[in-house]
Amino acid sequence: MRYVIIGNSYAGTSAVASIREVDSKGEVVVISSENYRAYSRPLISYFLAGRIRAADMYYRDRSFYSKNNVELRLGEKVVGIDTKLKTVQLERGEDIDYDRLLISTGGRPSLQKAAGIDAKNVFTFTTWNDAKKLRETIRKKRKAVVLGGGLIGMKAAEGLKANGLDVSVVISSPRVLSLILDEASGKIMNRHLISSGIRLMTGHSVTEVHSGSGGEVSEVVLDTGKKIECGIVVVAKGVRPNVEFIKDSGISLNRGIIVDRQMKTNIGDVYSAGDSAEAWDLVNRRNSVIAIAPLACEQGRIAGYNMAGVNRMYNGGMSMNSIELSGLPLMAMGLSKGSEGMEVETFQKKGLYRKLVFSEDKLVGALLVGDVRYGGVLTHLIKSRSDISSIKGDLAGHYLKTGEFGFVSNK
Amino acid sequence: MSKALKNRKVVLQPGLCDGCNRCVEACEEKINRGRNKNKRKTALIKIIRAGQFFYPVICRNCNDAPCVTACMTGCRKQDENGLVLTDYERCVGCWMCIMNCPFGAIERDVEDHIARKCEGCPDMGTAPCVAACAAGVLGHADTREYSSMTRRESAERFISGVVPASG
Ligand SMILES: Cc1cc2nc3c(=O)[nH]c(=O)nc-3n(C[C@H](O)[C@H](O)[C@H](O)COP(=O)(O)OP(=O)(O)OC[C@H]3O[C@@H](n4cnc5c(N)ncnc54)[C@H](O)[C@@H]3O)c2cc1C
Repeated sequence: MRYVIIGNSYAGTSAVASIREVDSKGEVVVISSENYRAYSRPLISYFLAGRIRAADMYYRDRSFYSKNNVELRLGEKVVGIDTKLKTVQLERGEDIDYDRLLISTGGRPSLQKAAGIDAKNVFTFTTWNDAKKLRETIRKKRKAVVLGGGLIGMKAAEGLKANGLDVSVVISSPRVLSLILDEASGKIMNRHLISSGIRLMTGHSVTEVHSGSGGEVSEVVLDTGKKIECGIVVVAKGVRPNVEFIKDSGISLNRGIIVDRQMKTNIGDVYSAGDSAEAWDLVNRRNSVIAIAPLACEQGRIAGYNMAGVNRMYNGGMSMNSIELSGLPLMAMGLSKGSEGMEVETFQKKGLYRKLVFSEDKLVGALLVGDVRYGGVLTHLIKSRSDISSIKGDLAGHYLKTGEFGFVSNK
Repeated sequence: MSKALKNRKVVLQPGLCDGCNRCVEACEEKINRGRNKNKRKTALIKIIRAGQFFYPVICRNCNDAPCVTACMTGCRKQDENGLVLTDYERCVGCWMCIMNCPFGAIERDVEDHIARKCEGCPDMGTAPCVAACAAGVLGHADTREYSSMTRRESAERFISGVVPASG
């Protein structure tokens, strides 16, 4: 049996581990376009900020590959898959045979459409190499503009700020992290970021990028015509599944690669997991792309077992994130903003905000700002789809008032 | 370290707890030994009260532990005996584990910016919390004896029949 895994990150390496739990004999080949052994992608902002050393970037020990008897092919880009011949094509021209294939190629940054955006010193921020390039450039520049106020944009802004740069973030919505924050929590976060010295230009977009001598970016132009001088631009308009290269393979695609509860695609022996996959979303009750590390691990693990012939079902995942910006922690789980027809409970105190979202007798979302203790209990309540009708009413403020959460059974 | 010690962890029987809090004090005493007074840490075991009942909250070393899956740095791992152990040097305080622990057993240590939890006191014969527990709630068990089934059940009990803590 020959297992080929495209992608050497959370999903890919988790699959390796579960394949090896079951099958110690088969060949395992891991291919990655990046030239590093598995590293923690979210740590690139910590690396940019100088908060961690390069040696602490690695997600797996050096011994991981030898222990698991993996043939590691780093710096190789896959450009196509032939599902009839069961081969994977490398950009260098080589074909690699597989018996079972996992596509765990993660995401790639969405690009900004604006005249002049291809100027020098305009970066994206999703890989270690991106962070390294930025670190080199910041030595020579004083001002940076970040396009996009989502997780990646704000993490980039924080990393740049830590280096003493003057940072402006251009955000089309009225608040940062608009996909997960509601109005009240957005206000708290906006205020907090501004007081920590990051400039927020909410409700705006960039229409043009100007460059000066040598083609280096010199300023961006907002929709209002206003110009912001800068030596660095970071484009952070979100990520989408990195699946271009499978377009002609016959593998079913929606936003991401559509997989069933065993992480199988429509094509026999081909699986997908992580940010490239569109798997069961247990809050929205349909398949969706949820690009977070824990789900990449879980999906990779499940895919690995099934590839090795052990039947394991994916329970489904839900969107969640824990983000700390300039010392203010926040967690958003499930439908943290709530939507029409849903009941909402909020609790607000100076610098603190807790919101719970209910649909019928179930908790379907939670948003915690300032105090994130016991967040996992809420996550579990959402995931398990527990009937919480008996405690609805005073849940949001409960923990804060009594000093305890009290999610305890007395059955 | 002897084999027996290596495989042992702290286990508990929630129904018996009378809320005396001695485990909490014993844990606090140990982790603050030699620590500056104004830098004291909170215990890695807590007792929470729900009506008439007391529940110790402490790391249960879950099977397929959600905090390990959620750890983006890879600093928290589950060893071959099922113990969930943390390399705090590499913890950056992203709180992803806190967001995924169904027991609420991980602390956000703001000062050191790490996510702390009970690591089972492998340096001691008997963990201080276990030694201090007169009610027979806390004990040590071989990791292999304390089956995943028991843990799953307690997680379900802990979470599913939720009731408010007080009045
Ligand atoms: C700045 C930043 C902060 C983040 N913060 C968080 C956070 O706090 N919490 C959280 O849960 N998530 C966070 N994320 C998201 C998280 O990093 C991803 O969800 C996770 O990395 C997905 O893992 P994956 O294994 O699916 O793919 P990826 O980590 O994206 O890895 C994809 C792999 O595929 C390889 N590859 C891609 N294309 C090819 C090709 N054509 N040929 C060969 N190899 C290829 C890549 O080299 C890589 O090895 C953050 C992301 C970023 C960028």
